Amino acid sequence: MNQDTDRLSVRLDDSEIARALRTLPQLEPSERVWQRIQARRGRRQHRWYGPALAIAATAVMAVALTLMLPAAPPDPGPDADALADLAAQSDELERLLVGLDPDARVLDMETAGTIVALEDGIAAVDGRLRRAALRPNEAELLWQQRVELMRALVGVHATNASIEF
Amino acid sequence: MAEMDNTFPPEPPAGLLDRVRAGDDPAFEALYRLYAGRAYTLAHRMLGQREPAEEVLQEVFMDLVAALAAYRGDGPFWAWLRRMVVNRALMRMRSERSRPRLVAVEDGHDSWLDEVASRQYERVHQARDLDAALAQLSPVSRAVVWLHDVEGWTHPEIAAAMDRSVSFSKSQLARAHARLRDLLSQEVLDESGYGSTVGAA
Repeated sequence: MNQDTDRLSVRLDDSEIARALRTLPQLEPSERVWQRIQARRGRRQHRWYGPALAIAATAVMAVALTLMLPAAPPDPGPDADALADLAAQSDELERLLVGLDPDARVLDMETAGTIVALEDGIAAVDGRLRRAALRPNEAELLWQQRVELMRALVGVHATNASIEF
Repeated sequence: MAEMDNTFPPEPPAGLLDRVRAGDDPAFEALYRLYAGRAYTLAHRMLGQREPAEEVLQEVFMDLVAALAAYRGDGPFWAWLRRMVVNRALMRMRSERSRPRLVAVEDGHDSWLDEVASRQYERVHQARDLDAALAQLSPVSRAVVWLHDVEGWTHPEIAAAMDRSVSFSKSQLARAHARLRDLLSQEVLDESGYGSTVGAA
């Protein structure tokens, strides 16, 4: 080896080798790495969104069916405690939703569609709740559905916010 | 291709990491574009091949969002990310496929290294650039010399990462320098624009 290196016009010391190594160019990965990462992240998102979408679909269906139901028979009377409890749950979910800052994220089309459907369902429930004459059992049912829809909505936003955690 | 900059790359723009933590895809891609080249270069220099380096890069960024929960911003982001890359690359080096090489070097017998070196000795004159010379080092020597000389790690840091002693790190660095010293040619230095500096030293 010494015979070979004798032909060199210079002998490098350690610091010169280090400096020479630092002249090597930065390398760039092929674009397929990013494509693979995207694909794997997409699969994770669909895994996470699956249950949320099922909940959302079920909740929307429940609201639709409720709104189409004929008027319920007379009820013995409102359960004020149950209504208050449901309203409190709904308020808590609203606070959770605000805490998730749902407008701060870019959504894919599928998730955005789910959120719109849930928000439409909540608006429909709110419209019924604002009616002057509600049967007691109807109010409780609507509040239950509002809580379900809010849970689904919070779930979708929370999944979107912490998809990788 | 840009020359390696030994200084730390810029920190992520304000708010970018929070957006990544929140699952913002465009923010995640922006972070990837900022650091992928640097991370890939480190993995490639340690592992010596494109495919495993790309796999390390992919694994690091797949784990990045979850790992960000532990990043408090109390140091440069690249220093934190770099450690993830190094750990992943070392894990790969310790895999079953490369373990016999590591044992040979660690025990000081260097049977594998000597065998490769004897073959590579015939190819010394083919080492036309630093890249090729680096590629002819043993995996451990290459990782040590890169971490020490380019990334600026200390011997205790390298020893801790490799779960070896400080003297092991020092001996591997000396081995790498000796090998590179033998492999490098004046033509390489001229091509890199470094020859005049060396000549003056």
